[in-house]
Amino acid sequence: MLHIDGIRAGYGRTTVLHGLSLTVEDGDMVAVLGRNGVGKSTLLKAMVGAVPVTSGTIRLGERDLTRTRTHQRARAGIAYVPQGRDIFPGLTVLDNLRVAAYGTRPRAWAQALEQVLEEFPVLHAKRAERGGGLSGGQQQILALGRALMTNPRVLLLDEPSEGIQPSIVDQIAETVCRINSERGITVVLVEQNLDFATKIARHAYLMDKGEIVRDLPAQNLLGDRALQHEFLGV
Amino acid sequence: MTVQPDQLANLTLSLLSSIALLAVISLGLAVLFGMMGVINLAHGEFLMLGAFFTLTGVRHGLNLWVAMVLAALAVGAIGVVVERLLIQHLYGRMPATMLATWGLSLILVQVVVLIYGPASNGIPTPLGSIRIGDYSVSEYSLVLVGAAVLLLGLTYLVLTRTRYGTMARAAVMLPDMAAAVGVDVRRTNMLTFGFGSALAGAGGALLAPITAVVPSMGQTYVGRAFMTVVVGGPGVVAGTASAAGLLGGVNSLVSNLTTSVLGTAALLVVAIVILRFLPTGISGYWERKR
Amino acid sequence: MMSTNNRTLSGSVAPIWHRLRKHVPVEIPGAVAVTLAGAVLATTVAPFRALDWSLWVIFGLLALSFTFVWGRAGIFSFGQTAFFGIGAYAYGVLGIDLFPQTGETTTALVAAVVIAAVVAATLGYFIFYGNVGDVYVSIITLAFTLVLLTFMSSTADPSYHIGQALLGGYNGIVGVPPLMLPGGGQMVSPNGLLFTCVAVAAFIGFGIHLLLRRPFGRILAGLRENELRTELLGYDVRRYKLVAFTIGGAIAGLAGGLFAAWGTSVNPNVFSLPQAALVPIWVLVGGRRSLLGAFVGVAIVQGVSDALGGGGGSATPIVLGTLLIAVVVLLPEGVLPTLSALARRFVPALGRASVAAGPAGRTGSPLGDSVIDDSVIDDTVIGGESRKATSITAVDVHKRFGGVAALAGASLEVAPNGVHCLIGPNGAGKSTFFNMLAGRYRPTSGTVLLGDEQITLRRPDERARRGIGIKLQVPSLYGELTAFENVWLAAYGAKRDIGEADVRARGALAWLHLSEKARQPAGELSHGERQWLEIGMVMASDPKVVLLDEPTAGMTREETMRVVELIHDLARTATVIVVEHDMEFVRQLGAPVTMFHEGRIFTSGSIEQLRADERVLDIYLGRGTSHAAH
Repeated sequence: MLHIDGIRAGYGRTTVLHGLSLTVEDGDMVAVLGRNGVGKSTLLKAMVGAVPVTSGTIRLGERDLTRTRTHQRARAGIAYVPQGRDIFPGLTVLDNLRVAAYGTRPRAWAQALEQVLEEFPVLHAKRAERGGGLSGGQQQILALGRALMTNPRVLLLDEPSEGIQPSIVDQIAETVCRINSERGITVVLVEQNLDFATKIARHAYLMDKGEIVRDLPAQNLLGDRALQHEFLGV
Repeated sequence: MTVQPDQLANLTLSLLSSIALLAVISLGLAVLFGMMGVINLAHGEFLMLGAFFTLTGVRHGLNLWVAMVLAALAVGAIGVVVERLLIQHLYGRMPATMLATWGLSLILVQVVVLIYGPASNGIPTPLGSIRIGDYSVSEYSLVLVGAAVLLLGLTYLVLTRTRYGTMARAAVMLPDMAAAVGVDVRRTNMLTFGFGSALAGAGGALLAPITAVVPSMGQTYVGRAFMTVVVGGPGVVAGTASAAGLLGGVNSLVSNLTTSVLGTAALLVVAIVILRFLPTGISGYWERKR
Repeated sequence: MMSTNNRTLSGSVAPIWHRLRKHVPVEIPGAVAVTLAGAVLATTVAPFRALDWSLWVIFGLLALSFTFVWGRAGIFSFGQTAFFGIGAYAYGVLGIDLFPQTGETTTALVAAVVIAAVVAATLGYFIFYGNVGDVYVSIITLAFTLVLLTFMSSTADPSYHIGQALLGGYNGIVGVPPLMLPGGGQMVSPNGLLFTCVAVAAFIGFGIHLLLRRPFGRILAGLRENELRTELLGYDVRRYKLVAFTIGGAIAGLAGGLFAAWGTSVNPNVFSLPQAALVPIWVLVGGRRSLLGAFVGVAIVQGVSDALGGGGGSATPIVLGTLLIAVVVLLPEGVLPTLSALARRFVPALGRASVAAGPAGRTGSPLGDSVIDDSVIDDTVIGGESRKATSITAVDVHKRFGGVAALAGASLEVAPNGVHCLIGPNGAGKSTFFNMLAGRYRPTSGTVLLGDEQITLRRPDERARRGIGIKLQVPSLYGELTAFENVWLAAYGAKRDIGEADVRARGALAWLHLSEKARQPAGELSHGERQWLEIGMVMASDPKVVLLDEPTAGMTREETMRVVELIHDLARTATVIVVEHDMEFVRQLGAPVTMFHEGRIFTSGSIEQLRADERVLDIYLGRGTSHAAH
């Protein structure tokens, strides 16, 4: 269980998250939605340790991760795909995948690599190419494969649909759902694209000004135009 | 004027060994600068330590080549210690790193003076010479060229084919993302500093048979090493090879046609001109073109 | 008794005194006083001591040049030693060659300064106009010094000479004439040399101090603190850096010339690394912003070094190296400033006095004793003259980054004194559009007009000078300068007149209700106050057009509402374009809104109209993409 309790976080003197709390059960798939600037990305960054948390706690299962360094959170089972994917541009696809396992699964990396290449044929096909040369959709698949290499318990995705063709976007959604159903990995998704989010998430959290202001089943949000106007529109 | 084949061979070898020398004294610095953006002003002293350790090894009866390898490893170990104690607190603070390593260089020179004394030491050049037509060429020049190729190749393999190398390169490209996939960036930095130091030690070890091994020898070479690294740009192997080729070639050609002083001046001028038009160095320019 | 005389006396003296105080900078009497003290010292001290102290003063000048270039202008140059050496060699060569004709060496000294300055200017031109990063400035200056070392060391052959002066390789030039003043071959004695050095140092030191009190000094401070911001205020930063670098080189060259005269010889050690390392050590010990600290640092370090047994002492380099490391790691501000800060904490009385004086390095801000009264705030909101607002127009702009079209034909015109909001989801192109108006990107095609003038290809600092005020998303202030100095730099950038800048700065602070915080460092203000201060800076620069990128980011509700007021005030004298995400803010602002989508303008209108448009919501939800992004 991923448990976030009353965290305040921000950049320098600016506080972006004002006492945010969120609990996600193992194996669940949730989406965090909201307009730009409300702190969605900051929430994921705080979970990963890229942004310091000034108060509150972050727990994964029994383990308190609030003060742990990022690479140890990765080893504890938190996998993160940031906005823009952050594929290592100068590394080949193979190296992009391997590097993720070297740190987290140093003994089992070869098997993990085989599994991922099997599951994602496009990665196998492009394995010797530079990461920077892949298309947006291919990079997204690579980022997911890379995340799987770390043997995660939780997968954090920051706007995975951004900058990707509509046809590929559906595939990505299917892939994420499959990752969850086959491996039981918890998924926390930050999104602006409501349709994409509801394809994956069962539960939706709406953020405004650094806090969670509504939480409801994803399908309900899909049908509630007024709520969409209030928190997602202009 | 016809150029005799042996004259040509002599010139070519002279050119290549000039380039090789520049390459081996710069490679260690290029690793530190290209991978971590660290300016190590004690680099000259790492070269010097490599030479002194080789000297000590030979004095204790070790085979020259074995002594060289051990010297390089010893300097690498010193590099790791320096990184843990000093450098790791200063990442991101460029002037601070430069000043602190500068202080380190003062200390290292003086410590070596206290231990070995300030007088000149030396190892006679091994291997003798071979004849090419009318010219007699030192075999060691060939060794130097071979060593340069070896070290460049070794660096390339370490950076691209080992686990450490891949993690270190990832940490350079996107440090936060590397951490997010489990790479301990602090640890790779330490290893990178050790690796660069070991390469510097190797460069110094290779210098030992052909130069006066004195505590102040670092200063003689550090200027050229810096120019090579800066002109080379952030790409460690490609940058060092291309910059050493260009600057070493210019230096050698001008020196052979005129004097060595003018050769050094030519190196400086070419370096500054290149930097004026390619401020991120040769490999930086190639990266942007890609 | 003498009352009538007294009255007459005071009656005639007082106005002269006041006029003197107003027009003669305080530095001149300061320099004179120090020179006189130097004269006293020089006549009373033994010759060998005079020689020692002359060297310290010379080193102090060298340290001063580094304090100026690094501590004040923020240029981390290793080149000061190079210019020192060049000055020394120039004096040596010219001294030997010219002395037979002229009978004095003062010309040689002056020439040494000029030569050093010219070299500095040339190197500086390459560095600063070549767009190399800060790292490379340090590297290039270091390499320059090292190569000079190598070069001069290899000139041992007698064929290396300039005129009569043999360059001498490792051994250097011997037989350099000591300092000889014009008019009869009078050799300056050691005591005379001491006096000369003190006098020179006094006038240069106070001269620099005076220079730094002028606008030039504030601009250097801005350059040092935040180069991007300084550029956006309309200053050509390359030129200021070049000037500062050249001045630093000239001073170092002067020190070098005096050094050669002092030692009557010059050798390549003058370029050596240990010698060059001393310079930052002196400056760090004395406090890197402090002009006086340069001399104090020399005194302390050289004193310690001499006590340890002189230059050849076996422990000295180790101590110096350790000292350098310790200072860099533990006391980055420098030894003296840290000690004086500690002292201030334990002795509060000292603290009050120094707060009034300002921490070392702060160029005094003459807020003046005048009360800010409301009459200063007139129609132009913050006082002073104001340019008229103009329109800003973009015509069919395209922008491609590699293969991606960030802007695919956007056209927009905002009339003078209009307020306009730009909105749109991520990647829609509004930020690219904004940065293109600001001059940070050039459009791939299309034009940008300021009023009638084409500014499509103008750099950001050129646009700032033409009246575009820019506030970027990331807060960009001079954290260590006071609030007053922040707005003052903005005002001066536009007006280039001290008096007007003062008026506008005071007016801007009053408008923001930040007058009580005028003397506080901007970094100590709250987040909201800093955002306002930045808007105030934009206002103080008398813009015709104002571009604001997410001005309310990170603000509370009340702070956000204040920004609405500020923008309405701005619009009285300027045209305002705002990029925003905060829809509540956009609603309160009540201005026309333009929405971007996929690099084009999707629709415009009032926020209520857009609210009612279902297509707008769909776009925000990620539906209705008309073509693939990749």
